[in-house]
Amino acid sequence: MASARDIQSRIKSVQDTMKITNAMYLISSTKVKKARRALNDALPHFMQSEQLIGEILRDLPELEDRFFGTGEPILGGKKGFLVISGDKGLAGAYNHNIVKFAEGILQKETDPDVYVVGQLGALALQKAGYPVNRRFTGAAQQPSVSRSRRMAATLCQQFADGELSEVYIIYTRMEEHGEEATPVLQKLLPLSAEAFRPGEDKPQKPQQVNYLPDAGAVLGSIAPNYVTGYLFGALVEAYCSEENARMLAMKSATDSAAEMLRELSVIYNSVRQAAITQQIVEVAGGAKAQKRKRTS
Amino acid sequence: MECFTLKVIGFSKVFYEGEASQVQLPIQDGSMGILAHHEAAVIGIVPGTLRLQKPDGEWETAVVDAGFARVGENTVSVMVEDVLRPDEIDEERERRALAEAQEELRQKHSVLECQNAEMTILRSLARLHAKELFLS
Repeated sequence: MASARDIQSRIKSVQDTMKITNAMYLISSTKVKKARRALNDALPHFMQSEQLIGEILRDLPELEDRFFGTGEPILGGKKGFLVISGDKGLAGAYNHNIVKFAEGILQKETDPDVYVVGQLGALALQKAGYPVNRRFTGAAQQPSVSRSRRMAATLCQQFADGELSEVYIIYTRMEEHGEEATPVLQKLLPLSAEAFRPGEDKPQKPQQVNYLPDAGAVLGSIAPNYVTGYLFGALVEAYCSEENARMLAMKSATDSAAEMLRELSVIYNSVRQAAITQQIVEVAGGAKAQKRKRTS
Repeated sequence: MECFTLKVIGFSKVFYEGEASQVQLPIQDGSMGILAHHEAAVIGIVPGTLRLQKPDGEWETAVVDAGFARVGENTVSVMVEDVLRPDEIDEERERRALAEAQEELRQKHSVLECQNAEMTILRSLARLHAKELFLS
């Protein structure tokens, strides 16, 4: 059995670790709150633009635009995958899940083009042997409109040039009620017209609509705009899931540290008690021996 | 004055949602005013200043990024990347962004980088201009 001194230093070290995990728990719980608010704020633009694009597509059934998957198909382009992971660890299984999920999908592709947000995902995918075409740094920590704009511009440009025939995004979606967050695969480009069917309550007949300055210019800017919005939403959602995963991981770490401290203190007390008993036995034994010696 | 429903929505926030009697949008060749019962249209928006008049006659100003507006059924939905009030603009930051983008444009870069730099220049100029106009 370990000595009381050893157990005491163990208790000290567990206490110190617990202080760190508890602090990280508090930090990520405030970050989750902030991220959730940002996610809620990003929703209206997302819903509204989905509906408006649906209406525009309804009004322009003969629209030929590469971004909407109509017009001439692109031949020979690669498939692009944008994987959103975290920059830092200590977030439970968050990074592991997204990397495993992405690997499962990338395995089936012959020559995928991989774009990664977040340090850990980039390192893990590179190690697994996937060529990482480009890393977008910083976006995992602080999702911002300007960062998603830059990312969308890169992806849209590649797509417009025909380098990429399809663009997918792999990120972690926040679950509505439970704590469980799951990685998802979404097709980003070409935008599928089916996804934009406006609600049934709206009149379905096409309207005569004016385009200013002209239809091509307007639609040419709407698609990248939508992609930027989608990316921003996905970044915010992934960030929110990451902090949520970190919060839960740190909470369970703090809880198990508390449990460990409880067990250690029981062991410490029994060791201390055993040492005291031992000393008493020794003193009593010594005294008895002295007594016997005197009487004899 | 007759009113219509106006929504001004940026990526990260809803700037305005409600009745308005007039809205002026920044478009490629200047500014365009829209009143109630405007014909159906889809309008490309460039970085600039958007002004809206509330039903009580009060004007409000927003600085918007690129985006589009859809007009129809007496509703105007303005969807832009970012939307700010003039007092939210950080002059220092915009000047720096402007200088960086101009510097970038001078170097020989890919088409994409030039486009990005040009967009940044437009955006920063629009913001600085708006700040000058409405706050000084």
